[in-house]
Amino acid sequence: MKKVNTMFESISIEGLRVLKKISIDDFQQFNLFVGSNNCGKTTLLEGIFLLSSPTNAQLPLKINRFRGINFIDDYTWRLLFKDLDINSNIKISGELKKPKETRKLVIKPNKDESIKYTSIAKEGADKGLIDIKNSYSESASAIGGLIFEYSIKGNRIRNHKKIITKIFRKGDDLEIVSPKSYEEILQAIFINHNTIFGDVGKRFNDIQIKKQTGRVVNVLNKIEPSLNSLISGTDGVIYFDIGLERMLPISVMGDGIPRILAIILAIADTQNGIVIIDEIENGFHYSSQDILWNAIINSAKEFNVQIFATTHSLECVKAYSSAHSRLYPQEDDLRLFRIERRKDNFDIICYDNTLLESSLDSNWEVR
Amino acid sequence: MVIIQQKKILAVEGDDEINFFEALFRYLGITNVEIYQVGGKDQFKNKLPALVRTTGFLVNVETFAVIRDANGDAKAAFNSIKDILKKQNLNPPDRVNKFSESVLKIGVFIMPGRSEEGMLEDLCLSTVKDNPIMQCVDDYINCINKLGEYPKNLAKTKTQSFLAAMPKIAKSVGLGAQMGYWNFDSEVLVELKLFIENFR
Repeated sequence: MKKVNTMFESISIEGLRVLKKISIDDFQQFNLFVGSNNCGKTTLLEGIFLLSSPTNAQLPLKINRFRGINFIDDYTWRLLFKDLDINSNIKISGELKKPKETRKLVIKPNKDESIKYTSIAKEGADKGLIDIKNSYSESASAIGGLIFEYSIKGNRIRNHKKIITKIFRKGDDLEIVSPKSYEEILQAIFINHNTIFGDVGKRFNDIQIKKQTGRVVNVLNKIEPSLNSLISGTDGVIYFDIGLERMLPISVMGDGIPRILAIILAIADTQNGIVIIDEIENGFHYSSQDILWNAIINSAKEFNVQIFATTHSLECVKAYSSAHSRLYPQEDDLRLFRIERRKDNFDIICYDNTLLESSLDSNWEVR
Repeated sequence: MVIIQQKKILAVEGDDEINFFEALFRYLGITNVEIYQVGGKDQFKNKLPALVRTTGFLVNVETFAVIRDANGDAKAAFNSIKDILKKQNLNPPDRVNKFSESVLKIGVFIMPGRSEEGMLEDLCLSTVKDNPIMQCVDDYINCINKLGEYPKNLAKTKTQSFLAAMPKIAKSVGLGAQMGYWNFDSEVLVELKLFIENFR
């Protein structure tokens, strides 16, 4: 398998939700973010996700949906902007490694499409998951959508012209104007507590078609040595074989293993890409954190995937560090970033695994 | 897990130093200094970068000092700490036993002071050099030397001998400080006390 290392090395985000301005460099294959509530961890992940697919104009709606915002009105677009202020654009830029390139994305309010909405609520947009509502108020200028201005510098792209994507409301529907000539090389998946099982069946099918099931079993074998194979039943349930007279549905393994499998499938299905996991410890008992990171590190190495995750859990941080030290003691490809927010200032404290081990060993707080 | 909550932080080598400086701060009436140990002189390289990253350090700390032993070379000890701090984008002092003047005031003191070789034990022994018990300690060392015994660490042997003569035996130089066996009024502590005044 050819490894292309399409990894982010750095990112800079300005004006996205709570993040006035934040810059992080020294990203490695494994990146875990910690920090107090509302310090911008999830928004940072959203910024990475947006820059992973900068011509996909539906992503803002998706990341809103991850936060439980399942409707569209002028306010929904505003939620992306710092202090709901549509007079300042959102700017996200980042460096990719191999192919070496710099990505710049500017998200602007689509003021041209601002209209006074007259109809109310409509189901049907974005696969029926988003409800279009009209809450336009005369006191605030409405925007009808977003404009993405994207540019790349790097060897891959000769033409450095801006690539424009638009999403806006047209009547009671969403309309998307996409660039025809641009081909995205990155693949990224965003997982959180609510969406973790959402695409498991589809991902497992993709993996079966790509003949990658054996590699997934190899990773799971390191957690459950008796596991021989995995299959997808016609009922959509994933079954596993541990040498008994019949296969067992994965759900009998409790909540932990199916969650780990869901993450492994996301990693396997995103080969050479990026997997973003918000609040990774959610749904896992503290004693399972080591198994979780063991599986993530093994599968990310197997499928050459860059990991971005957030956590509040000390056990999760400890397991992250110890699993990596045990599995890849010679490799300096793990970072922990703490975001410290002081009003609109965001400081980044970066640990490599040696520093992280030193802090944990001395009982000095890293979160 | 420890969160740094104070404005004043001191990093030292080990538990002995923690006990010694706690006693000295108490004696001088200096309060609210958090003392952290790195677990030996060889650990400064790993532990200082970890300590300055600890939650609360960036937000709270205004005065930060590192105190370590000179051992065989005071200048090398100072430069070693200075380099570690510089690599963390901090602003260490240019001169030994001084503080830098910046938003985060940083000081580095190399014991026993005056750019001499040695360690905390040498400093403590100097504070009691006029104590009659020290003559007994020297006699004891001479006696064992005549028997062909040459202690590997003379300063540690002498402090143990001195402490063994105290009403209640203190097992270490730091505990000796806690029990008031070293003379904190001694002139040999002037340089260290001057340095420590930055924590007031």
